[in-house]
Amino acid sequence: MEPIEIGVLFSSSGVTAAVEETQRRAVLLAAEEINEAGGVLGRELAPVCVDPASCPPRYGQLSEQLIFERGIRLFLGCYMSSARKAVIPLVERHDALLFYGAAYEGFEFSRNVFYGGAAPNQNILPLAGHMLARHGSRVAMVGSDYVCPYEANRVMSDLIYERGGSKALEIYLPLDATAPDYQAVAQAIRRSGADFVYSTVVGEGMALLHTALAKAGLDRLKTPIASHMCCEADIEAMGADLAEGLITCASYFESVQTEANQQALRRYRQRFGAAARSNACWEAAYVQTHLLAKAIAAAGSAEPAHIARAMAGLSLQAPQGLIRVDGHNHHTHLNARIGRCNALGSFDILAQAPEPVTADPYVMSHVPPDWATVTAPGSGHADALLAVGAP
Amino acid sequence: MTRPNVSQTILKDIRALRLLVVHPDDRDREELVDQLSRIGCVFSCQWPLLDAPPPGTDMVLLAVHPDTLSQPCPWLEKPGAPPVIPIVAFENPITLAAVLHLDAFTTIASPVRPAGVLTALALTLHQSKQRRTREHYIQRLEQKAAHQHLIQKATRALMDARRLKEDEAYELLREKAMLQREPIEQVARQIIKATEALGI
Repeated sequence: MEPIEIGVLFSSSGVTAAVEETQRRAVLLAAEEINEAGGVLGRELAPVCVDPASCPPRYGQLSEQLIFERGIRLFLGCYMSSARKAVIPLVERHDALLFYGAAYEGFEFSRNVFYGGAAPNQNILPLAGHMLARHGSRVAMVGSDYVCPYEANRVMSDLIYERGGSKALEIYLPLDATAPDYQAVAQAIRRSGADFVYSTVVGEGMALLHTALAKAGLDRLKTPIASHMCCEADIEAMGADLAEGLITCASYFESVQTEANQQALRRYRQRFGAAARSNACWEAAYVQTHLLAKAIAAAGSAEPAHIARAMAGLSLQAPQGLIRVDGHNHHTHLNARIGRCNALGSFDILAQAPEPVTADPYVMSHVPPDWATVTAPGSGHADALLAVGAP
Repeated sequence: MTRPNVSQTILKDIRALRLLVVHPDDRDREELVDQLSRIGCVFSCQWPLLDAPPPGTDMVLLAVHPDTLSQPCPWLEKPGAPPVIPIVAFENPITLAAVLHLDAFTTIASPVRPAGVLTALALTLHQSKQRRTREHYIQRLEQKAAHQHLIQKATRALMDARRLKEDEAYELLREKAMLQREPIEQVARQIIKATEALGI
């Protein structure tokens, strides 16, 4: 039988390639698992990978090309919001589906998109609650100049003002900013007297920021960096010594102790080498590929409209734990964890939501969840940090 | 340091709005109410709208439908009527005229798509608040202008009766108002009345 072709829109080059390359590999891994188990509806899943080179319009052009030239109407991909926005009009026009596996800024719903990454209430909100409760409320914000950082900082700013805190500074840098730009920002941050740095810098800029902050003499133990956009892939790219102490919130960490994670990691390393690292976007891409196969099987059809209907309410024992697809808003109920980067570049989990968190992509007033402000037992180091910068 | 601006705080009211969806039960309405519940709005549905929206309705999403173009909307003319977002399927002059009559800030186009509904709600909420503030301000200005007219008339009457200069007459009027602990326009009205009575 003819294979079911899936368009895979992840960049192997450009500023966000580090994460997107792990997502591409996750799709390949999942497709191979599915095919080894007999495929779906007796057909093989055949990923067709293209490289949009981290350039948002290229995602649109390449998806259109795959639609016209190969008749593909199932897509996995995109990382930055601008890339997703470039693909959405095409999947809507051609009745195709996009599975988007990255955390994003929320306030979106398309019948033709399934969102596998965290909405702000699943990652930004717990992270903001945790940082403000544990590290103080004078905050230096630095981000890349696009939509996601602005929205994240809006949520953070609201929470800061509610508790009478203040912004030490708020700066946005272009995606292609260079080392001297980051050095100037780092100097300003050091002088600002911030309790912590909230970074929404993406891609290669993260390494530049962390390098610049270290060079400026910022003590990351006293003034930690928080970023919900930083994952294991970014840390691997910058080196653990630059990232140690970084605090983030994600649905998944490589260090998560579930049976499904151990197995997925074992197979991933067999396939891509013992040094291969995973991250939350990797997991989302991996899980969404499996969800897609499940939905095709349940629908008995590879027609996007049938698959979309079958996706509603699907649940899965994912590496992160149990997840479920919300048929109403097409987002995913995910686990939420606060993690702190250790010297080996992996995350120690400081706190964890007691159950999967419902995605609420349109929430405007935020109340941080209690679990995020309480530290899990056994993470003594974080307790030691508590006194620093507390109001 | 910047504070969160007013338009941002307005957005937070969207989930507290009580919306009325006046739309036939069809695919457009389904798409619309699905998106309203994703956004987290409080709403109820009706079709057609018989007399007026129930009291406490903050906003009406109204299908401008060929079947109901001729239906009058007397409630729209009443002060404090909730703002309307027309849902528009046709762009012919008759439908456009009906849309203009609704005095809307924005429209939602049919076929309804989820994207854009939140923007329409936000825009209408923001603009209707501004319109209300403006109307209130104009009312106050009109009142002030009317009072000014009374005060001038009373001042002139005092000038004539007591042979006072204008500023002396005005001072007298003001003192009287302070003594009687009444608004100055009230005292002015009494003086005009008395002068008119004497004049007869």
